[in-house]
Amino acid sequence: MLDPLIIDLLNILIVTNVLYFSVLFALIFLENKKKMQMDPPEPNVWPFVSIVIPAFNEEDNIEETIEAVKALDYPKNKLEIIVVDDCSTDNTYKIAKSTGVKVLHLEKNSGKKAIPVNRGLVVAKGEYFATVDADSYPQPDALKRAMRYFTHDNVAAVTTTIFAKKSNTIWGRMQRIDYIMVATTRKLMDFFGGIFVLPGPLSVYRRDVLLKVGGFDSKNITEDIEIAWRLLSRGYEIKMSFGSKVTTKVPQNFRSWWRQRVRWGVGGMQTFAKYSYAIAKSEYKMLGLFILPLFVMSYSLTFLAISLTAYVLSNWLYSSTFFTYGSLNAGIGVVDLIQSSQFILNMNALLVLAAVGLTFTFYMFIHLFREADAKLLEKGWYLDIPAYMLFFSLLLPLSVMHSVYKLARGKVSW
Amino acid sequence: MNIFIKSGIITGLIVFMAIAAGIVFDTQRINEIKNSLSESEILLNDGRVQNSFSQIFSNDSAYCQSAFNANLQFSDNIYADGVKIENAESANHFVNDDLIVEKKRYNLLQTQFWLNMLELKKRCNYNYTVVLFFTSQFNEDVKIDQSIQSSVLLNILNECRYKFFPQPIIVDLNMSSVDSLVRNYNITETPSILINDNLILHGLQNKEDVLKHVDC
Repeated sequence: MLDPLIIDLLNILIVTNVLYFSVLFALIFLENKKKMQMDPPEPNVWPFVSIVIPAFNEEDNIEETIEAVKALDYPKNKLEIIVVDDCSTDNTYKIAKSTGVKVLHLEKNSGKKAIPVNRGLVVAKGEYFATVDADSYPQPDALKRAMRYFTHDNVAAVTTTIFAKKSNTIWGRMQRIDYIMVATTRKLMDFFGGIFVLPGPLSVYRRDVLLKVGGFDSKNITEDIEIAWRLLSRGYEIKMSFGSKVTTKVPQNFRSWWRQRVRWGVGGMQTFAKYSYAIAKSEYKMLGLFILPLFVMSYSLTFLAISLTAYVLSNWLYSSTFFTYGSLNAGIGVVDLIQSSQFILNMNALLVLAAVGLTFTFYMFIHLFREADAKLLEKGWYLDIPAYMLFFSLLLPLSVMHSVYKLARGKVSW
Repeated sequence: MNIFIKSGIITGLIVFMAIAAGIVFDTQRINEIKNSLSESEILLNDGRVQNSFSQIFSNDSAYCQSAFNANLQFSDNIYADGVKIENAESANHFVNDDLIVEKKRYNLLQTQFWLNMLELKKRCNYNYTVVLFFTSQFNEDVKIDQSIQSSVLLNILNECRYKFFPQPIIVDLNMSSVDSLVRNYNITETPSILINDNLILHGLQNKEDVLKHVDC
């Protein structure tokens, strides 16, 4: 039996770490509030951009995506759109062709997003190269706003703000909250060079740099994380255009959401293993000093939190079960047993810490949602916040554990 | 100053303040228990004095009733103290040595009450049952059985109000008075129950078995 003092100290350790990041993001937000929506000035000349849309069995979405990309407010003579059909078995190729854009067709399904994207990278003519997922819909000003962030040669890539498409399901609505939290905290991380992922819905790259570093890694199932870390490890910078908004379709039920999160977890760990050499090394700047340690810390704390919760819960379950069974056996009636049970909330250091942490979190919620233009959300979106905080905070650590299990079993696939 | 260091300092300050607040809450709980036990002590002494009156004025049954009422008031009070102590035990993280001291005080009060009630029972011919319920503070293996036994006794108390007085006594707090009881009644395990001053039931007892010896 663990000493209760050790359990308390471990709980304080977990809450303190979460509190640290809440405080960090709150401070960054306070220092940079005015800069959240500010973009650098427009370039004198808009450069040529090739947009690649990798697609596999996207007949339901591809036309809308292509139309959204065609509707981008960008000089048409400086824009090239390439759809790379990864040997779809539905009408994706036919529909894409009918829109009039360039469509490449792979003869064999690669099963990996990186391969069609790399194919598009090779044939692209643009000085800049953008990826747009086949179920994503950038707003008309998204590309121009992103291009403004290539302020110097060392900026190799720019990511954008991803919103989850409007949904009536509770799962879809919770993800809208989640995506906003992620986008806004990602922008906060931009202020200290901590962006660690270039999501597929819309990210823009310097094409020559992408070719120089070897394109996307087809062995990694989260090629968007891997390419970001590769660029950072080579000393490049990644920026974020908060004002560039893209809407993307998200899983509408638990099963597909879970599969997606486990895949992200597996890919994240794959990428971590590949770049672990850089941890704590100052020559790798934010990759070595922040991003990698953050991954270590978050996985360790997740494991610790799950273990501690499992330990406390199983102890409680064990003693409650034996107590209930023993009491009933000893002649105490069920009603008496229920009446005698009580729950008392006692103030202690841990509760104070948790309360302060929650206060910072709510502060961030309110202000970040304002920044992210909450009118894009459904009516009554704030009612989804408690469900989001409860379910995601419980389920995400479990999905991480499932990822660890899958990786340990060598199950690395889309 | 680097934002990471700033955040670290602020977090450190918050943690320090939370721990300080935790110590304050823990101390407050202990102080509440101390005050409450002091009140109970007064009630117990009041009961003891009333007991003495009933001895001196043995022809006046009103003194018996008065002594009984005074001890009853103590019993209700000490039960509430016991709940506070249990509460503090689960809530406190920092100030736990003081809690052990209060538990010793609690132990003594319970023992004195048991003696009071036995004396009163004999003198005034009352037919209630006084029970000493022996428990362990530090033996984790018997915690569930002790909780069950406590539940059983509480259940009987609710059914046999004013006729049944269970008093928990902790055997491993290093108190010579309790050690004497343990030796005298050969208490080898917890939970164990001493009914009045002559019947010892070892181990977990179910409700039926305890009720056999209780006149409700």
